[in-house]
Amino acid sequence: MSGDITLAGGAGEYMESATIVSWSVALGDRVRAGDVVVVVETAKAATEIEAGRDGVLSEILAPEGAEVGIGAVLGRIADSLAAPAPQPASPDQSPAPAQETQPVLAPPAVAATSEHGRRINISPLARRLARQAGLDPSGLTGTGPGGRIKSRDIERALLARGAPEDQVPVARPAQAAAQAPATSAVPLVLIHGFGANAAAWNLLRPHLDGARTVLTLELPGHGRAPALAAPSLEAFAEAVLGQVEETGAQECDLVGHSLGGAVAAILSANQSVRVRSLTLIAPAGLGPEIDGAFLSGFLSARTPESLEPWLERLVGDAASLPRGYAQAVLRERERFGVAATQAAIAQHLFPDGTQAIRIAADLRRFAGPLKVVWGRADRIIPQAHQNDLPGHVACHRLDGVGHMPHVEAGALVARLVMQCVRSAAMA
Amino acid sequence: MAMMRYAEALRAALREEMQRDPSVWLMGEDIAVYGGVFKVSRDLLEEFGPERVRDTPISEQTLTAMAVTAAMAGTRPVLEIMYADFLPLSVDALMNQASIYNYIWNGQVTMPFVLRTQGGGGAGAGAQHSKSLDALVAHIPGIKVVAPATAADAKGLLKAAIRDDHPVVFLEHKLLYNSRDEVPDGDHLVEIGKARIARAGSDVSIIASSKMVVDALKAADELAKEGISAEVVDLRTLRPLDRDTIRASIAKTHHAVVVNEGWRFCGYAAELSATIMESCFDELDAPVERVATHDIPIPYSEPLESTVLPDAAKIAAAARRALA
Amino acid sequence: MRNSPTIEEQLEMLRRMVAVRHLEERLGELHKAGKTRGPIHRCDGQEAVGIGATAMLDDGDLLTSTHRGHAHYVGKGVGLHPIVAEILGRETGACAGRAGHMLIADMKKGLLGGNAIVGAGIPAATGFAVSLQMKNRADGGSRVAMCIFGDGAAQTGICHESMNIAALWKLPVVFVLEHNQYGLTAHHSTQSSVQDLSVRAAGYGMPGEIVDGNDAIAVHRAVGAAVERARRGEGPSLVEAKTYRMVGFSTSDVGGYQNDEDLAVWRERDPIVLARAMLADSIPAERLDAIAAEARSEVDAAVERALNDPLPTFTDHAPSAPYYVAGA
Repeated sequence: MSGDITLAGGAGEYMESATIVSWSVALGDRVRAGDVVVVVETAKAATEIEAGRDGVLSEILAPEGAEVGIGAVLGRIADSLAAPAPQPASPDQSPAPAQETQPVLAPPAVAATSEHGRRINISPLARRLARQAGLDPSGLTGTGPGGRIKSRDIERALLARGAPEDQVPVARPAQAAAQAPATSAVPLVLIHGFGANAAAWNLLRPHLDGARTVLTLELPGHGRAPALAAPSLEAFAEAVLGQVEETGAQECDLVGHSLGGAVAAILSANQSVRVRSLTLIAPAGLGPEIDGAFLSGFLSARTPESLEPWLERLVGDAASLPRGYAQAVLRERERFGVAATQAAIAQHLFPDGTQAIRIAADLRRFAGPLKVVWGRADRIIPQAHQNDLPGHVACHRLDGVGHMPHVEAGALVARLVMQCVRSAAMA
Repeated sequence: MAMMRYAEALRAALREEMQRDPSVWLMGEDIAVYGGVFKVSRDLLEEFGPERVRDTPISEQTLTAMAVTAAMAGTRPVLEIMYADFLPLSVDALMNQASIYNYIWNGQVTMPFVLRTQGGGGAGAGAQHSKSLDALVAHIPGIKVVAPATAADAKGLLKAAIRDDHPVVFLEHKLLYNSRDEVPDGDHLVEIGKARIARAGSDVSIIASSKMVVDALKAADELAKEGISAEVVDLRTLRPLDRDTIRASIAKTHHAVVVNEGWRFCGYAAELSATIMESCFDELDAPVERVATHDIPIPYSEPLESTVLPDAAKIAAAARRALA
Repeated sequence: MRNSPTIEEQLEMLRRMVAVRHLEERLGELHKAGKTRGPIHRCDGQEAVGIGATAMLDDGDLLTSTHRGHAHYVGKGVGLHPIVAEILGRETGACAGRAGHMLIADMKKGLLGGNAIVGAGIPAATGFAVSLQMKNRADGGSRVAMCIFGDGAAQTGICHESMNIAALWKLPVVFVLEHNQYGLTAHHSTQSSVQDLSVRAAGYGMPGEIVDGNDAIAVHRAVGAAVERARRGEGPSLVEAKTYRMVGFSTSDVGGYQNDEDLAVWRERDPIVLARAMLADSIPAERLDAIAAEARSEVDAAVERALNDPLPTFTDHAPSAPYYVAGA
């Protein structure tokens, strides 16, 4: 068990960042697995983070008051103060390697200062973008007046390192836009499922190859994406394609979960951006059955108490649901007003608890690398739907996993995604 | 829709509200027989009679105080103060009387009066007839302050101001009276406290009011030729300030130019700048640029006056600095 | 004599004057005990003006007062408890503790209100009168506005502007000049070359009259005539009531500028003593004593109750208010 203390499983979903409220134990204090070690605040809710193993709190990387990105290591637990816990090598067991882990961000008071205390001349926006992208701006050269680092400098730096573009809100003054080089990387596009949003990938992303440009798009009527007047699978595919086209990409690799899987399948034959590979996680559209009781219960729940039982049905083991997940879903409904929109989408695509969408023909036509990943304990869409898939599709059946393999087994699913992507790159 | 001059739109608003509500009446210097020095109230004496359209002695301090209490006692006065430069005479009535009563008397009274005045330079009227004193009145709690840039907003906001149960200072601009634009037909009301996007853009937000909106739009035309897309936010109401619209614009453009025709030091533009810093600091990719009048009395001669006042070229230059 | 108060009206005026005097004395004690905040401006010795001038007003008539307005408040019919509770900063005060002793208002009683910008009550009453004139013409009513102001306020520019406009527009307003000889520490003779300010009335084309401000009956008669004139729609009047400030400007005044001889002369002419004397032939002393005792105990009861009332908690504004809190 890793000694890293992270937000994963504590508060991560749907959040961009969290603030360290207080450390419950001091450096050198002995802790047991399950002890509360630190309290963080996310969207005005305090969450306790527990020790993942027995040991001694050996490092505090995020001081009280610090704002940290999702995936950040807040501190470490070791056997003793002197010897930090060894970092396991296997990606299946370890959290992300250091470069993929978003660094701990200093509290705002010192955010304009580099590690060595030198003040950095940086605009507020550029500082925020750097923070969100986990980029240390101290080494950058600013192109603004007096050498001020502006947002365009951050963008350029991120493009150079191939950082996740989707986390960088586009902020390009006219001149800067003209200077920005077009991206040449083939983006890896992640499409979430019904009722979720881009944050659904938070537990998978740290395990992806850091060199890839990752786009976590949002389906219409989800997250911050505006709703469509007439939701249909084709319209969803078009909206997603539009977002990919905006990046200037000529090719892409697609990963889709559930409804997002069906969208990815539909997109596989588009003429505008060539789809190199497909990884579908518990995709919709392969058979008529879907848990209608889940859909209506999920959509009509108004309180954490009424929502949680349905969310538990999503996963094989209820314990793998991130804490505060129900509150996060309800908050999103409230903030973005997506409840009515999503009900309309469900009515269109899954009328009367039936899947009215079909993707089998699209998959038959797709010649690139194609994987389907399904949990054997999926209670939303029967995993038996993959039994009739043609022979060129690689099927991965995960024991003890429900409808959310990318949440329940993020590292493994990431590995499968990368295998699929790499074989496409070699082809 | 009808093409209308700014002054005509104001007159239409006065006439419609006086027809609609017999408790609305006007007072001011030279407003009745002469119809106002800018002719805003022309012909209204004939239509509504001397009790509701009153010429007054030159007594701004008392007239403002009277508007406050007349409003408290059940009528809706609209007071014209001929030049904004005379507002300092009104300030005791606004700051020590109108501002306080609703609060310190625990809501026992409301004060539905409008103080109309006009300010601004560019007409060679000299140091006592050219000022923009937006900050002076917008500083006062409990006083709403509006400053329309178009004929349509002049009409809609004046009607809304007359119907408002609280004091409204209505700031017109002498160089706008003859400007024409489309005014919606019928009972056209514009909500107080709501800004409008006068021109959408993506690179820099120019936040202005009254005549400065006209200059900002000219600046935006110039900037467009250089490939810079400027968004012009017309505040329309100076207090209460529409922070949401400002925030949304800057969240989009990340660069802000704040413009006000008043003096720079402790001026209204400073309030805008502070508001932006407080509400969307993390959206800023450059310091807020401020365009305002030089901190000296407004001189008479044309080359002197045009040097001290803000204009389209100065606004465009500020936008370029912001985007540097 | 026209506008002479009846015996019952005289008794009521006496009762109110005694109540005001006792209120001022109790406030002096409470101030010393640290129970009030800021300065208190007492009107000891001037009660006949405020009580006599307001006795003929109805709740629909609107009165503006000064920073020294306790007699005006009581005269206009505001209850003792809301006044005391306001001065003690209580939630139960006439303005829920927001106004304090100089700025009390009671819309229901037509008191709008105290004013601590010297002179500001004069244009305020003039403004009321415009609305009342329009409403009277519309509904046949005969409401009037009244302004009680001091000799200090008489020297402001707005006093001139207001009287000019009031006379020009024949507004139903009565200007009652409560001439107590002092503007803060400055004697009237250092403020104006004219001893009797009522002569100014002629300059505006309105009637002006001087009365003994310590004689409640005389004040009642003169102001009553002016109110009737205003009710008839004949325009404003100025009544100058001569009186004397028996106490310092405020509780923070260290004094020393009033001479003892003047004070002694005016003490002889205490308005309460005069009012009692004028009733001596018609009402037995025991009844007058009883009325006075009752008035004082009413004040004491109001004070005791207010001292036990809760202090207010802060809220931004009254319902429907136009105020905006930064950041909100």
